[in-house]
Amino acid sequence: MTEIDRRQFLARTALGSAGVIAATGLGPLAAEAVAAHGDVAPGERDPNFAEGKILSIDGTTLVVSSSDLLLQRIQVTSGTTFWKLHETTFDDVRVDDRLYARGVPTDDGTFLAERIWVNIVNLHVALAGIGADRLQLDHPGGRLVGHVVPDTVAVYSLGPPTRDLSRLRPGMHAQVVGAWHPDTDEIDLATIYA
Amino acid sequence: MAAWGLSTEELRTIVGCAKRSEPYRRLRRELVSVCPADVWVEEGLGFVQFEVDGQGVDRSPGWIVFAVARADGAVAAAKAIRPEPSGDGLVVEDLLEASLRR
Repeated sequence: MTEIDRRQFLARTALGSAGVIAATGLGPLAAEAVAAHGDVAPGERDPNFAEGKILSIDGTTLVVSSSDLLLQRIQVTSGTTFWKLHETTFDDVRVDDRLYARGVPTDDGTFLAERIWVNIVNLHVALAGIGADRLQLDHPGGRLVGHVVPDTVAVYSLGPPTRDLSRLRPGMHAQVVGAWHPDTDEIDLATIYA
Repeated sequence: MAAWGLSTEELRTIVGCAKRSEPYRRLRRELVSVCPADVWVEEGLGFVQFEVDGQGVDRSPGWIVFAVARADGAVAAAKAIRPEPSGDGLVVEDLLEASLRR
């Protein structure tokens, strides 16, 4: 859905009456409309990409609300692979987690996921403080806490990953990849590129 | 010019009046951020969108949209839009009506 479509939908809804809008009545909000797109024009949604917050988990189906109001059913298959701080399984996925998925849309609007990244973040930060089990991270969006976990590694000057974090210093700029604790300012750190 | 391509004065009118409304004050603790997710204008109305996460109140995450008259800042409409847990649709709640019932 384009920004104009989204704004038109919200404006129409704000000025309309209360009630329930069925997914079939959402027009361009429906996943089918997205799946019907051919080549992806600049600014349009990539039909092989899905993102959003998990509202519910029913068997192997995830119902996700995306940041632009799209409701989407994401189908997990036996071939779906998962990342949540590290390679993991469907059992680690929870309601309220946020996800990015690569996969294939089907004719009925369901999204067959090939790969799902859960709560993943990739941020440019400044190291504001360094403790034994956590880093204070300055980000334009505010101060974040980065938890050092057994999987945390550092990559110094594009060298090999190491568990040695002793070369990190306050004031250094770094790129961190990790997993959010949903709806907090805390991250479990996977890799710190310094 | 300020954010969203609107002037500071226009933003102040639209966002400020939405934030001074009873529905905003009532739902403030559910907001993901006090910063709007989007602000835009259509003819005589300004629209403000906030995200709500329903944390602590056992409600679905969703969105709040205010329509504010650009001329005098009156809140013309306020709706909460929340996906049904099943994903089958969106529930639209009239927040101004809810305020009048209180």
